[in-house]
Amino acid sequence: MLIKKSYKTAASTFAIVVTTGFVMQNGDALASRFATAEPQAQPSQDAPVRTTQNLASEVANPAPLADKSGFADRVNSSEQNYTPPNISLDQEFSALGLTCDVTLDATKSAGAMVTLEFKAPCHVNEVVTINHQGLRFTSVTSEIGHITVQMPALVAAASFKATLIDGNTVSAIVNVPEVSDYDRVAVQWTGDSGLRIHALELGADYGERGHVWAKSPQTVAAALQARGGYITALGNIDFPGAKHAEVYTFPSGQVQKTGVVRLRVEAEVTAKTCSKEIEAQALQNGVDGVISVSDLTLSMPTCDAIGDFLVLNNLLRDLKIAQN
Amino acid sequence: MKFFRAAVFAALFLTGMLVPALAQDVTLTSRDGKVSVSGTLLSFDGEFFRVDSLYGVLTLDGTGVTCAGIGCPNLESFVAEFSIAGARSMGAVLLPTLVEMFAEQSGMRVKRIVQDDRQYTYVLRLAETGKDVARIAFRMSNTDGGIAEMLDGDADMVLATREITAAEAKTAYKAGLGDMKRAARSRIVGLDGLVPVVAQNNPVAAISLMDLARIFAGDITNWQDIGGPDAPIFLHHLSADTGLAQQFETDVMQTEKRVLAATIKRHATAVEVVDAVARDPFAIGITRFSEIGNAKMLALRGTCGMAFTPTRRALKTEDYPLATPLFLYTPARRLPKAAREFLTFLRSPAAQRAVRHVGFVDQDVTQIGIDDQGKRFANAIASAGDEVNLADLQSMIDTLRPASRLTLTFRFNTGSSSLDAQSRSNVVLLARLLEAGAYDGRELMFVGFSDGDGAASGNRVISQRRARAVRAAVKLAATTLKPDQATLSTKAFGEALPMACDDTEWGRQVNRRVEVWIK
Repeated sequence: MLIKKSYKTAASTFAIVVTTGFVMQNGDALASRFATAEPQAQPSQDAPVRTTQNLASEVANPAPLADKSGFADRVNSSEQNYTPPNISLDQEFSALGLTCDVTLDATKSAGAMVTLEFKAPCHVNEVVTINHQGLRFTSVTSEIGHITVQMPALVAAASFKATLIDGNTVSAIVNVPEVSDYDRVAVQWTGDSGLRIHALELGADYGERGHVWAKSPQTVAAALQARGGYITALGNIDFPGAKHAEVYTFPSGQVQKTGVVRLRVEAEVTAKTCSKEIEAQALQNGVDGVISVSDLTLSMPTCDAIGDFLVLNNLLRDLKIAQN
Repeated sequence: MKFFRAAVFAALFLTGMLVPALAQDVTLTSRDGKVSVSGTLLSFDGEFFRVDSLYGVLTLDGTGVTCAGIGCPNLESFVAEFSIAGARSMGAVLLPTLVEMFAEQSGMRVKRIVQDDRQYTYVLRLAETGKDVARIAFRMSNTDGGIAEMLDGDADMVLATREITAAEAKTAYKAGLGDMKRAARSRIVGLDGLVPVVAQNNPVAAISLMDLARIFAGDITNWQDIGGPDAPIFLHHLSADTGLAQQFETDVMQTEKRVLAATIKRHATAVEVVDAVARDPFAIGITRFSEIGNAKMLALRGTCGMAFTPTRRALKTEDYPLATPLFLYTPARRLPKAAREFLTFLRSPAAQRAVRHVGFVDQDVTQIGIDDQGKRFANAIASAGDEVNLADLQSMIDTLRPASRLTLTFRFNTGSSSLDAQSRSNVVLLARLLEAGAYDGRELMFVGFSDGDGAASGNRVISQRRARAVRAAVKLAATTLKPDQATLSTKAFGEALPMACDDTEWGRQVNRRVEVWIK
């Protein structure tokens, strides 16, 4: 039932993409491709526009191609550098005709950040837990089973894992040697306890420039220009078991100053959190220089303190910025 | 009765206090059934029962007895509980890091249960089985508060940024907590120092101790008087009940016979002091070496031009005059096994790494080559004259040149021949290193130096006597050291290698020392 529902939504979305964007942007290319290719009796291959209905029925009952002979050659002749997809008809397919393979790609981007691309075409709108060296958060796949997220790397040999609800896990590794130019700390929690990192950079006070937190998160670009650090919020949905994390990055290798970045963790006392115990974890550099994860339980103040903040100065150690 | 007990239990639980074994009835019987003792169980530490019996308070080994009665603890689920109270400067970051490191090394995971910045509990559980092993309650205030908690019987370990006073030690002794001045009752966790700070954009870079005292007494109120701009001086200091403020009082204000001005702005923590100072170009503050924040340290200038920059090495060697060892005191009662293991861990190399990692000064002994001591030898040449002549200097250089100085140095309490706290700790430290074979086959020279008061010949005799006394103390402490393991010799050069000017008491104190050189 549930699968069918999402299937339909996905199929119609695709149909719109095909009829509008795809044809509009690639109209000329398509035209030239079809002009050079020998017109043959292959209706299911040639039709660039499909209706929701016939696509859905095709996917539900994938019929073997009428004539597979010379298919790759034909496509090759129409497009340079085209390699035919390595598809076996024994494989399972998604509503969109994509194989059900679950993949994770990690690509390094500027500022020791990593772009993760998770693809699970047969798991649309599904919760995925992403884990990187103990930093973990949950995200939900899109209508086509994708998640794209940019997150900070915590170690140079950075490994990432994405786990679906059924336990299926894929991983990716990327080398990010630039990590040594950055100081990174994080807090992570489950549910809507709303922990916040506040960084007061090199003498800044609350509300001033250099006070970096969720409401003034700053950017990777600013860090690359040595203007200061930034907050990355991870975990994109709210449900009772949702896992969230906040990472603070300071570009120690770029900033030509010495001093201290004060790190505070604040938790708002709300009707949901008052008198409760919040389970959380703190991630920061251990004695051996490797990020270590420590378990925390925050005993929240009683409910007459709703609206107040529990301010903790010592959960995360201040960053000492030294020039070599 | 039962109802009442439950209520007490609930109340204690709610207030988050550690629950001592409640007065309950137990009968402990020897394994062969021949001897049994009944009474009220005072405490159980996982190994030993303390019972208030007909025969007085008895401590019985848990492995030799069976327990019957409503007061018997559950041996399987026993969790060691102990508390750490006292100086926030040590408890905020340093001790938690040490607890985490200790747990990691012992195959345990930790969880920190946080009430606020002053109260938190560490739960240590075995990584393999998940069984809780220990609960460590932190209650942070300041050195005074920690000692008061210990005197009330509420703290198992006290963090102090100053040495316990004679009066406090006397009260502790009367309360049955043992002799706090004995080595077994205290240990030095790490080293720190008192440091004056100003804002980064303040042009002043060094200050004499005399001027520092005058400024904090309110006798100097304008930066112009010490070579700065024409602007008023704003004073920031730690609150009077912190160990560091008390150390400043005795080491600086009393030495210079001054009284703190009433205009000083007091702060509860060093973080607050340095944050206030960093934002005000006309402010000066007193902080600790481990918490400089975004402010700038001032070097201490001696009257005759020798300056002391607070560095890790200068704090280890106590060449910087305002070094402040960080103490951990334990009252004389049996601590649970996990607590004793933690105390043992504090002396390990891993613990020293953790101390260094969080910005405090560790006690690892390192060597300082003669090339790195140019300034000291320049001082020696500059102060040489009639009493210390060229031949004396040459003889000293001949002795020291083939050797390296250890960071471990011995100094004495003001106006006394007794070693100061850091040096007493160094006796044990050096003895352990010798026992462990760290200097096997080497020669350790205990080199005595004196201040320049009085005749040079007399000073050489005094410094020789000090060197011999220190060597004797180390030999006595190194009980398993074999005579042929390492050569321990003494040398003395009197006032030949001054570190500070002799015209102040603290200068003389810095000069009176026994250094250790290794060949």
